[in-house]
Amino acid sequence: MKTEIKTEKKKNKVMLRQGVRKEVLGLMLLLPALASILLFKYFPIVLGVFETFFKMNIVKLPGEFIGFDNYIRAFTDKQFLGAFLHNAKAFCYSLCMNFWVPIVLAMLVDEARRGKTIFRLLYFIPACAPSIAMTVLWKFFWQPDYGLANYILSIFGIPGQMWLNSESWVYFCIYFPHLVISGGMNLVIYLAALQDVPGELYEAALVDGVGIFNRIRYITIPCIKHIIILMLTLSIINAFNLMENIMILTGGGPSNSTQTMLLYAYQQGVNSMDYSYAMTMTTIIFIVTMTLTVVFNKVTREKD
Amino acid sequence: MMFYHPVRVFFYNLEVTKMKCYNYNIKGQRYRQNIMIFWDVGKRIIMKRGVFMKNSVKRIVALACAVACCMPIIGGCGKQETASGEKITLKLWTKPSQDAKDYQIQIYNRKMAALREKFPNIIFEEGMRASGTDYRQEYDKALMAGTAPAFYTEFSYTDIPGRIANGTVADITKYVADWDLKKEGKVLDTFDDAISADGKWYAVPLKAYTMATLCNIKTIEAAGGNKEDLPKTWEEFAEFGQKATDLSIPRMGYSLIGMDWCAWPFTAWVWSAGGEMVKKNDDGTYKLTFNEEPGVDAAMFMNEMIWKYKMTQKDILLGYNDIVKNVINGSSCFSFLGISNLNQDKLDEYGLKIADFIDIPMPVKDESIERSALAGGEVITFNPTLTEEELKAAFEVVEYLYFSDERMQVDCDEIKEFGLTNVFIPGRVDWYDERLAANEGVTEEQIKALETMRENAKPEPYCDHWSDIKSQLVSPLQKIYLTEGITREEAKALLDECAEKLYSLYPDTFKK
Repeated sequence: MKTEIKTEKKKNKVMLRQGVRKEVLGLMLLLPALASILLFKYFPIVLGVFETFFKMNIVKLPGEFIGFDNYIRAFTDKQFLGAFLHNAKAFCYSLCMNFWVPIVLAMLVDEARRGKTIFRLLYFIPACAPSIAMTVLWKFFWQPDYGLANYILSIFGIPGQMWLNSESWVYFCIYFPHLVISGGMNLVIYLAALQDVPGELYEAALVDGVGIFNRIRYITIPCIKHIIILMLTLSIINAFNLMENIMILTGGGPSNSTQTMLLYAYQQGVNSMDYSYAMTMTTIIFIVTMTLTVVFNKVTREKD
Repeated sequence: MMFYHPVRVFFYNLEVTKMKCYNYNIKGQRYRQNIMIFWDVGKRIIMKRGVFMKNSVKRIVALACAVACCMPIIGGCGKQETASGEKITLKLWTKPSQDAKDYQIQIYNRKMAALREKFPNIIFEEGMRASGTDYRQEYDKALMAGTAPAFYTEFSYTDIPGRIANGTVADITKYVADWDLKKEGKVLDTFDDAISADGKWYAVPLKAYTMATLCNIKTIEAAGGNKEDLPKTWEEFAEFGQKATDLSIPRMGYSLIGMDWCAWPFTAWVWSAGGEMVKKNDDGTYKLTFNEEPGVDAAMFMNEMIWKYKMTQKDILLGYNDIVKNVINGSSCFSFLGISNLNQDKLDEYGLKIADFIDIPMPVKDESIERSALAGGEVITFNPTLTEEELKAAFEVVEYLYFSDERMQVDCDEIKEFGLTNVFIPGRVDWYDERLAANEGVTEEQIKALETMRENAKPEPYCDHWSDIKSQLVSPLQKIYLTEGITREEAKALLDECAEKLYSLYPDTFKK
């Protein structure tokens, strides 16, 4: 009996040791990736935040300590506050123009009995093209003198517009291409979510004689809600980190009407060599985005 | 047993790395000492198998410490030591880009061979700025990382006052003050005021060029004009531009540079209206004058070119490269460029030659105003983190590469050999005529035109925050250009507002 217990204990010990070994091995395998992330991702962020309290001197880092001066300057800088409003405006446009279209399209494609794959493929192919190249092409499309957009209007006898050169059209022109550039990817994500909705629910609803709108309202949307929330969160993050497209299409113009916070920070850093102020602004952008994301997620979770 | 292998391999690698670092003669003695301590500790922990087996935490701690210590050493392997009396290493950013043509690579290889022969005591670490990146951003990044080149050839002279102020360029007074070539008047002095401050020197000139109105002769002739009778005043310019514009071809009289470039040509247009962008006050500060009558005239003329004469594109979001393309592909008769902005490789795409273009000074508001051109140019700056020894070596290399008779002759020979076009004014100004003559594709007429441009050229105002003036002007200028029927008063109000903003942002530089 005693020998059995001893053997059992020995076995347990060996198993425990093996378990610990495995865990250690796992941790060790994770270590390079973790070290890289900490070193190349978080360390620069922390260093960047640290630099915001200095008037940066490139040659003798970190430079002269100035406390919260950069933050005070940012919060009193009308151009930066204006840029914040441009980001907010960009978010509204993305919400109105880009957010719901892939959902509706995904529902339509999901309903299709035939050719589902072709629809999906056709809509997804443009998403595979490099977005920068697509954006450059769209810039030519909106060209007011010989662009395709005005040519199309002229066929119908409608006078040409200034498009990207017009403060009232510019956001529309920036976000319209996204229907093609990123819409395909979003459609595929929504479609994947829709295919996870249990078919029995729809069958039961059909039996009960529920109409299409109520089916969408009470079955489809609640079932894909988690994906909608995720995509909305990503929209917030994207809208407040908007820069590349703006840089290519308008450079912040016309008359600074599309100058976003990140673009302004970039211009301050590169054109004016005011790196610590640029970093201060990016830190504020990070905090704003983070806060909005957290608040939004909290609100939606509470509602759940 | 399995577990020990990667650990042992790691420490073996560490040993090898350590040896490599010694071989490379790296800096940082303390890192070496630290690594030796951790090496011993780690070795003991690993070799004492029993202890190691019992406490895996120790293993992780030892490994983590070793990794942490190893990183700076591995990072340090790329650095070079400048041992006194021994070979000096200079990092250069002169390598041609990956898409460089064969002749560019050939020229570069020859240049490097000549450098190695001339300076056997210097090791040249060849590199280049990543293509497609902003030159200022890349340089500053490299400077922060300690990987900046010994000297840099891309800064415009207008960048230098700001860089002197923030210490990102080295003081080279010691070398420039006793420079024989300079004393003999052989070094270009156009930018001297911009590259020196308080009696100290911070850069040497690389090249200068002039920009005003570049004319595509073929397009002008197709539009009914002729190169003998090009417009001299705004009135003539507008008249011809209007006549030449035909969107169905498409052909425009003038291509307007937009995006954040738009304040750049505006400077020359203000001059052509008889005004100045800034004026120096007695106390060394500057008065902003772009919002005075000539500035308003210039802005209004731009607006009229778009809306009244319809001789230019409505798209003010075209950048510099778009404009160069427009002039080269013949969709524009004139633009704010210079013949030096053209390169034969691009012209070849459209079957054009450099002789198909000519420079003329800016058309003026009325004939009483002198026609001007804008003098642009790049200078050579030196890395402020170089040691005295390295800085001396770097200056010698620059002196040889860009200012020696030998290299100037090689330049001329290569222009002839490869049929290149290089109409820049070199830093060695006394070689200008000879180099210009080496350009076989450049006609006598063009040489005369370049001479006229040179005589009329004025440098950009190079006051501190000059880049900020240009950045701040983008918004009001775009507003003025794009508003059809804007009044003079409205245009002036926008320029005034911009000036006020600059006064409040930079009170130490700008005063009324």
